[in-house]
Amino acid sequence: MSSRISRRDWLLSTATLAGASREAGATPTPGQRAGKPALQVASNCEMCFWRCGILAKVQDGKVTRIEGNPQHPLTQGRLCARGNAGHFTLYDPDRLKRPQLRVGERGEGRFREISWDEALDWLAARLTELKEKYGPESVAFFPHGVGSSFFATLMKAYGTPNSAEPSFAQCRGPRDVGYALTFGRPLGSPEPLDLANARAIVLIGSHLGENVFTSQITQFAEGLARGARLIVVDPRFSTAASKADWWLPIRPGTDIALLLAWMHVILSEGLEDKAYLAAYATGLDQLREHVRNFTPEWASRETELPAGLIRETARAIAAAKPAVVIHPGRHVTWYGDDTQRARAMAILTALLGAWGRKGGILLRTPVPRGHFDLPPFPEPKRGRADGAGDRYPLASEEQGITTGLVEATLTGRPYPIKGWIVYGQNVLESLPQRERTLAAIARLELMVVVDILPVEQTLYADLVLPEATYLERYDPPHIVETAARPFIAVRQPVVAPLYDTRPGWWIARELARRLGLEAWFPWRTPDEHLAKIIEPLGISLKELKARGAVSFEGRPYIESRKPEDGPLFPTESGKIELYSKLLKELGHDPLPVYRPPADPPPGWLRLLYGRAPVHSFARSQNNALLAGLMPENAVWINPQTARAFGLHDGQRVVLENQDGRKSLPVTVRTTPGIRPDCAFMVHGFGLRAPGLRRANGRGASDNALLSRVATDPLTGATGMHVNFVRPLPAEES
Amino acid sequence: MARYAMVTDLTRCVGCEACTAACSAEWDVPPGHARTRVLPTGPVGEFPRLRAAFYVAQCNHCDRPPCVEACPSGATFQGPDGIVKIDPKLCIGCGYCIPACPYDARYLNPVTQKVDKCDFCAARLERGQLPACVTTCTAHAKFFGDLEDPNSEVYRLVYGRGAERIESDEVKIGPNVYYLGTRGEPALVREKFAPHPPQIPSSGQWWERVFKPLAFLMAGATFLGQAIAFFTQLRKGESQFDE
Amino acid sequence: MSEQATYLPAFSERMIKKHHVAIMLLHWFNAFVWLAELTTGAALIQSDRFRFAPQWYVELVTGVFGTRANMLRFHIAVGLTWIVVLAVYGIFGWRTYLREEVLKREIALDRDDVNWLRIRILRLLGRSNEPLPPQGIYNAGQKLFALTVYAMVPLIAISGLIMAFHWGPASVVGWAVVVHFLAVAVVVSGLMIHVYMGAVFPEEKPAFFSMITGMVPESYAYRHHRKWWEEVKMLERKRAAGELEEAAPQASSRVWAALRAREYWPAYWAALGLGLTLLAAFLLVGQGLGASGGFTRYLAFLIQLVAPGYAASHPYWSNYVQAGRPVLMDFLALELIGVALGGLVSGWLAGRLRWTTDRGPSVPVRARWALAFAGGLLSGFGARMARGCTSGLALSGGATLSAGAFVFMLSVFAAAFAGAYLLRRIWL
Repeated sequence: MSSRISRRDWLLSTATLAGASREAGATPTPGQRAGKPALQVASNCEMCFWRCGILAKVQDGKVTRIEGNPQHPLTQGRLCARGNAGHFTLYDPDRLKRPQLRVGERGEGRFREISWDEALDWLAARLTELKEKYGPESVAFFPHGVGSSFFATLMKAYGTPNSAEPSFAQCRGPRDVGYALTFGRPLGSPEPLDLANARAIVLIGSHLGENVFTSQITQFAEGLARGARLIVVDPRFSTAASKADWWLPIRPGTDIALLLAWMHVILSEGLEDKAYLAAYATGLDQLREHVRNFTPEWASRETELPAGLIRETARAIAAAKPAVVIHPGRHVTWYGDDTQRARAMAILTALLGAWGRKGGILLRTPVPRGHFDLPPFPEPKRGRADGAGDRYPLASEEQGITTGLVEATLTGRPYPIKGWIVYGQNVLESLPQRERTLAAIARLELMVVVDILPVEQTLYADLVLPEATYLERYDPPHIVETAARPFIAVRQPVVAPLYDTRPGWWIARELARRLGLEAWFPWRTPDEHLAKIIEPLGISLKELKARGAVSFEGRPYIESRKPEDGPLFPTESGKIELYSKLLKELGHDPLPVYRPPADPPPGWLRLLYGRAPVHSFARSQNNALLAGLMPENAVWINPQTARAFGLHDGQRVVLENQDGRKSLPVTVRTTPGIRPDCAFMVHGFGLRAPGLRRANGRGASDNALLSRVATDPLTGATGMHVNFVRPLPAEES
Repeated sequence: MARYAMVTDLTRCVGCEACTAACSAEWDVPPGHARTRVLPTGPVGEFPRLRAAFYVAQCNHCDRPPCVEACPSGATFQGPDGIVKIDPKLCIGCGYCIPACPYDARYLNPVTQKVDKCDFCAARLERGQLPACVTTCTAHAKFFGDLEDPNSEVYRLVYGRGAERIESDEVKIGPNVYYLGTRGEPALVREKFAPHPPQIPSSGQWWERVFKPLAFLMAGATFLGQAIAFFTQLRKGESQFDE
Repeated sequence: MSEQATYLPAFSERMIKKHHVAIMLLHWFNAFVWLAELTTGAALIQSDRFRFAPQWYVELVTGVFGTRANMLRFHIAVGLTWIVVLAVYGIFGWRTYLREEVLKREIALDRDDVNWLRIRILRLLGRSNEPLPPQGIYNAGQKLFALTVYAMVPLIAISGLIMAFHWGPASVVGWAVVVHFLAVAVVVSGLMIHVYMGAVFPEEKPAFFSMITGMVPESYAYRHHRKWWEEVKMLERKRAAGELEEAAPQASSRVWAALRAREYWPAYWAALGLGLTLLAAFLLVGQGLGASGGFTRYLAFLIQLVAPGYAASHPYWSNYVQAGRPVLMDFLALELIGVALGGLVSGWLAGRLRWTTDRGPSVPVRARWALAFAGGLLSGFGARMARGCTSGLALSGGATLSAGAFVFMLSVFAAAFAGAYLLRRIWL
């Protein structure tokens, strides 16, 4: 029996099982070709990790439009620019189209197109060879995104513990660890924030608006419209800052000082939620003692913010308690003390009694899910190579430390890493110190990239496997427990895969078959897989696929909890740990301590980076619609600084960092909306991938300038706001 | 008949451009052009006392639209519901209407070679759907409805909450896109993006001011000459050699 | 005037030929076009700023057409037809109409003409009694009008094409509108005199009728176009005296002679030419030659004309009728026109133009037509099945080394070889 599913079968399953609604008598619009009536297929988006509910309109086998799915419990029919532009990635002519085997040198970009059979046979042979020569642990896996779970199963079955995604060490790892140390649970994604009901919202570096997660924006705007006070702490006048009641243009790297001073004001003025703390928290006395000397006047010297402003904002925050959202942030790997900063934010949240309260942080409502009875995974002979759980005691062993794997590959310690399998991750754009990443790749015996687009890392791969996009494939369902109403949402193919691309599940399962690991893939079709997962939920496959998402009763507040939800604060003490005994035992600060950051030397600017609402990381720059909205980035510089450097608005410059790394030419945008000691740019541009014809060489890459990192001793996360740059006039031909 | 209007709450708007993307996807707007745009005012003031807002610009479907009279072919017209539309079958792409719009809401589509702009998603309205920008707006900042219906949301926002028009001293043509803002956003937008007086290209000006009168003059002169000839002929009578 | 009459030669009421039938047809075709285009054109300019016809008129004419879009479509269709007809006249008649002596007769003003104009105007104003100088086949007024028309027609045509097909950026289209308007206004000024003279002015009645019969009375020719009358008389005298010889063929170039050769070209040369044409097609328009695809487009066009809804919803025809793209704006569709015109020119050059039914000696004409129709039906059906015919699939496909092309070609030859025996009676 052929294990392949024909394209026709795919299309049929899409059309019939999706319960696609027909739009009878729809007037053809200029955007739509006349012809057969359109089908609408519900799925969820993958233009970013928020996975909003979508309805894709299909006409004559082509996706003509993607709109929000009004039945999706979280996003309720709203969709950001990227979501609306999804089909422009689907129909991007630059996509990877066929499996390719490298024939030139690494980085040269010379490949031979081969068949899937040849590609998978070749890869299975290489993996078997590596396993025999160096042991299965010598293969590292770099996943990202929901589709990676099939590969994760495959890699575990193969026998390697080494898997790491940048969402931990380059993103939200320290935050989740900091909150887990305090409340016993990480925050997870989507962040369980009750923004719509908040009466005060505090953003520390978080730039909602430029950083768009659809439902978070909806709730943020709703909160503002209902009169929530907004405090924005950011060296840059962000979109959020323009809406703020108080904008605190803080000296970068001094957030812990501000947080300690806020706690000082709250505790010294008795503004904390006393009953809540008495019932749920431990370590208040140690905290009170700890912050005694951290007055606003002290913090003012560190943060360069007026003491009066610090005091005023502390009182405003406290006045709104417990309906306060101290936004935990998402990409928080800044200065190497990031777990401690997250701790400070968590402690402040606790002082306000906001965890588990309306207008504060929502509690997780568990959603049961079904599992296949898989054989036990083989026990690796050697532990993780990246230091998670070892050198970095609090790093997640599930998510791993990407840069730790790079390190191990480079040094061969604790043991050699000889093969990388990269899925949905862009190691050259998401990991700092790209020279080290490239050097590590040079030492590999096997480099495999599973991707959609010919991004730069594919040039270094021995084998490139073209995956189908999210609109062409099935992925495991999106199960969200951190929303007011928990829900399950499906990812199902809207159209059959274009070219010779294949869904991730198919690639992983075919590879497993060739490696003799098919026992870990005991299902034949995606529907069978999905049916198993939703088994305990009491909903039908048909209904789920037709509606796209099904939600359940949530119990997000303390008073609504039920015993089956588990302990409220699953810490060692069973309480909120303002003072962390665990940190003390590990030899770290049990309460957050402020350590002044190194300021840029004269003539240098601190490089800050962030997001733009129309792009996701470095993955959407080649999308025709989105590139039309924002074809390249600019570097923000304060007019005063620009004068000092002799620069003017619109000038092209090259940024050089402290280690002599240079960016591609980029346009200067002078704006009073940034501190004079900083430069800011949007991440994801300056890509060096000739295959991305629209994005190649447009703008500058912040990542190329992140040659220095400050490693968080608790999590191994790489703080990246520690690089300094200076603009040099660009000599362009 | 209805009087359609849009209200954009600039306090809610975060400038994410979802509206622009949805609109461009809905209407096949080529990259680099837009039916609706999000224009940042940029920070105004001195660090750190700054203000900023986003201007969500689009066709205002004005009560007295200058684009309609600038269009020689009648392709641009206003329906009884107030929606200013372009009939692509009539548009010849002369571009007279583009500078005629004080809000710069029009563009020449390089693919179709016809002028295009927001029409409040008229085709969606006919199907009973809201405009694409309204349904997708991540900040729930856009509201659409009938300004003549006292029960509509836009009626409440315009007459109850005082949503404002973006007008200038020179240009008051009754725009039907309104803006809300509790932090003075509409005033900031007015400061930065005040509508300009309607203009038409020099070709149109020559036509209107010189060639149209000239044509009347030529035809009139010829007619006069013929009239004289006719009466001369009458006076003289027909020549005897006529058969 | 009566004084002059005494010395008039005695005329028989003989008619002499003034206009060729082609000219008369063109004239009335033009009259129709101008009537249609002016009527609709005046109603197409609608905005208050540019409109010169009153609002009621605009509404009236729009009402006749139902919608403004229909009216515009009509205006463009008539205009395009006009341009094509004028172009055909230009291409086929250039040797007849655009010769120097003809142009001299039609538009060149000589000293007599200038005087004629001066005296004519003065006489109209009652300020002169001078006799009018003698005139050629066209008087100075007509020449002046012709000159205006010759100058304005290309402007009208080109500006019209720019508007209809959006040639160039908005600024160019914007000026095209103005040029179109102005050029028409100039012609209309002259046209008013022309129509008045022809239709109202009593002295010119024979001229009006000459546009129907082609003939004018000799007396009219003598009185109004004396110089022409003298030429005609001279010719008649010479012909009667046998002095007039048939003009010897001009010593035109050898290339011309070769092109006009009555023999067919050697097949290999023709094949080379066809190959080069195919190469040129790939280079210039990026696709090969074809035939059946073009016919399919014409059919799609007709279906869209008759039943647009059906065409748009039909799975096959909807591929051809796409919003915003005229069905016939396609290389193959245009190429077919070129093929027809090219064939016509080639046949004409070689002197092979005639009405005939190509057939074998033993097959009756009707049978030949019926069989050709049946054969056409089969090959049309087959071509769509194969997604191409001998031109598109075999020729262009073969040029790109498409496997399908060779399979098709072999099948065609095999089938033809087999069928030839059965059908030989048609040709032998």
